[in-house]
Amino acid sequence: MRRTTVTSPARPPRRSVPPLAAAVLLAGFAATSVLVASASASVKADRRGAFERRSAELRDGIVKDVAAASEVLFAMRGLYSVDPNATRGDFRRFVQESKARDRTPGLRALGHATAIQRSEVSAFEDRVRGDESVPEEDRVGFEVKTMGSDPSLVVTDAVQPLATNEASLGLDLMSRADRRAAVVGARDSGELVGTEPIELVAAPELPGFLLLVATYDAPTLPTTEPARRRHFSGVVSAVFRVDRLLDEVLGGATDLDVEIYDVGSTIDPASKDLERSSLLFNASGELNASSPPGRHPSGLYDLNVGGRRWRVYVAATDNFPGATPVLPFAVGVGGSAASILGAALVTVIGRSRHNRRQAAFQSFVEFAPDAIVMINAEGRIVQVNVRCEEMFAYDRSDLIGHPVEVLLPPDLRNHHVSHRLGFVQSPRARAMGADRALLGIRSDQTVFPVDVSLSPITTEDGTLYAAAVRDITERRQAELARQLASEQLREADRLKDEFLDITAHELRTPLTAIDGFTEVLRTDEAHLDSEQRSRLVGRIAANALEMREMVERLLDLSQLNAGRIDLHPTRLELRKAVEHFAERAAHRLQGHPLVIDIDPSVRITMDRAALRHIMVNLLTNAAKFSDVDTPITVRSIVRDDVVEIQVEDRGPGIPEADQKRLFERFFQGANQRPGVRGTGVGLTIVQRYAELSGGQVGVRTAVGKGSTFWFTVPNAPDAEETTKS
Amino acid sequence: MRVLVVEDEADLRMLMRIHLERAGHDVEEASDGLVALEALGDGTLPDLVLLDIRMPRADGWQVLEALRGQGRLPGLPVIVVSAFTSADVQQKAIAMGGRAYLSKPFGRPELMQVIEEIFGKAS
Repeated sequence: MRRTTVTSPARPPRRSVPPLAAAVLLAGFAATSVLVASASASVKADRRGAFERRSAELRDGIVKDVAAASEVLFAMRGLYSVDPNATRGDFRRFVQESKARDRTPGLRALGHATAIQRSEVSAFEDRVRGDESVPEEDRVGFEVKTMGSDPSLVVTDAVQPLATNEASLGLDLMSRADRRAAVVGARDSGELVGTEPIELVAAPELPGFLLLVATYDAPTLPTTEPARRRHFSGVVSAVFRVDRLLDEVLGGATDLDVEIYDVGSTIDPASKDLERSSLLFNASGELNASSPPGRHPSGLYDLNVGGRRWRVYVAATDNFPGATPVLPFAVGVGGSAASILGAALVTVIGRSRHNRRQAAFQSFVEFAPDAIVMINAEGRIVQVNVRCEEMFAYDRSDLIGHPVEVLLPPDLRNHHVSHRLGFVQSPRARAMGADRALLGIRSDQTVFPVDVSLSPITTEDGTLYAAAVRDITERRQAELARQLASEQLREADRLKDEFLDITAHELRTPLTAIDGFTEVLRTDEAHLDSEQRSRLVGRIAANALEMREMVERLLDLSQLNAGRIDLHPTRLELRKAVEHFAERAAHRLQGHPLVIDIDPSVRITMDRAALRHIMVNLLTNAAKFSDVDTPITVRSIVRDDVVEIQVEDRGPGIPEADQKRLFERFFQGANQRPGVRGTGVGLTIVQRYAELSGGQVGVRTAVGKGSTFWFTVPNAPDAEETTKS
Repeated sequence: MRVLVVEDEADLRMLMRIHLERAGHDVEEASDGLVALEALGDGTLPDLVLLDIRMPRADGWQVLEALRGQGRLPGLPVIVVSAFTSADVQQKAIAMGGRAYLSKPFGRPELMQVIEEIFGKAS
């Protein structure tokens, strides 16, 4: 196939390597989280839209039912206007013919009530009982049920259907506080008026409400309130059970939970204090508009129902489409961002039936931080994103339609094909390469390590497989660096143990001498003459001094290593300084003659303490490793750039094998003279001080001829340098 | 009895000489392993060897190895005296034919006790 490198300036290959792999990894996680968050936000936005549509359907359903009922009521008013003496038979026929209950299934019943005076009750009862338009059993037991002494009564004299609603016959609406206001409102306004939530006589356990329209004994509708009161003849009513109404509106769907409050007209419409108002309906009994919004979309809407304000609180339930993932999306990558991505991807795809969602998904995939490759069951690439083009340095037109194996190094391809077939046969979201290193190959044939997570995706075109690929070059490099560092740490630890061992050993020897001689002085006092005693005391002092120097050298080294040494270079007359140090360290020379071959005019710029440490260590070494009476020579060689100072001995020389490790901390050569002790840190101290002073150290040695240790300091004749470390 | 002290530290040789002579023994010294092997090679064996481990030229292990190779160890008690304190070194000293192990620093009572354990109170 043709291979091209993406050169489009809009999509330059991203190959730059940030310095800290860990930071990149974190950034990757963060970026992924942000993307997933935005993706889920778009999913949420889509859900929100769907929810809004559903809840609008719900509200429309309520309004439509109420409107349908009000149509029937206004038509019935027309009936009573035409014939104020319409019989119950007329009413029943009208209701049946109007098919009102078919059109409005939430409508439990329709009724009619006649306005009478309290004085007319008996006559009214007689009239109803004598109404032969209905069967005898439906009228002979009729009696007015009223309370109080209000002279005006509005008595229900017809209900359709009658079955199960018999109890409401004869009811004086004016004597029932929850109905009276609506009756008065309907009378005075001439409009459709709803009651507050009421206990239905026939179904007291569930809240219901009445919609009322007043009838007037006038050929035309009275236009003023006094006229309406004067001509008021009764009301026609529609009886609703709110649960039935909502059942009907919801049509058995369980995707929404609904709670309805009647907030009347006296309460501020903006009020959220729903506790003070009346609960009309609560579908699940679980919803509570006063509590904070849950994880599903919800909304609060005001409806005008017969002049009453209903506050409808609607919330999506778990059954709301898209509320839960349609496809399983557990991607077992153990917290890898790639898996999160894959999971989000499957979730999104699972829900994207809608064009808009698909568009959102496309852009989500397109700009995902991981390379995403989608293949079909045959293993051919059907889609890749921008990051994939960048990562593999291909143009997508070179990939789509080709086997996914083009993205793998040739030697892994056959193996991958069989793996892929295995995955297609039992697809589940998972991470690839949990137990082995996976590799990708770019169009320029460079190979790089990758992490891959796989997710099967069910689409209308069959099952696709999405692979989220992450370039883990940096992570691998960080792992290698960490391994190396830990090996170095182990080696340092080993050296330290060895050092402690040797130090303990070396300290024990002078300690044994001090202990032993002290014991002899005490217990054998009677047997010792004064010369023997002073010899023992001298040996105790010498061993104590040796221990002290060992301890000091160790402290020196630890301070050097901790970087706690401040150097203050000054101008020094080299010969004078060396003579002074040699004099002070005479005991270390152990009788070796010292030759100082330094011209008195030689001056160096160096920290005095650093020079002393170097000289004392080199002189001590020279004395330790050469035969007594052989001379030790200190000389200087002045060059243009440096002054070299040498310490020469006539010792046995240093075997080549030991030369390389000579300056290593704690190293001790095999070729030691009897009685020579040390901690192996002297030359390390020399080297550190020389380097801190801007110079170098080294040794020239020949077995059998002796060794010359040298160090240099910068030759700065006039400068007053201040080197600090 | 005759004791050979093999020790590169002059002070420790001197110390052991003082302790041993005080107890009535004759002391010979060797300043390293090679000197010791030379001393042991001339036919007149000592009754006891006090042997240091860490020494230049030939260390205590090499001396033990050589003595074992020559088949002398069963009759020649060697007390290994060293500043190494690890159990490994002590076990190795016994495994290589040493009769006892004495760690530095030691006092006169410790030295005498080790010798008594080998030769009995009479020594």
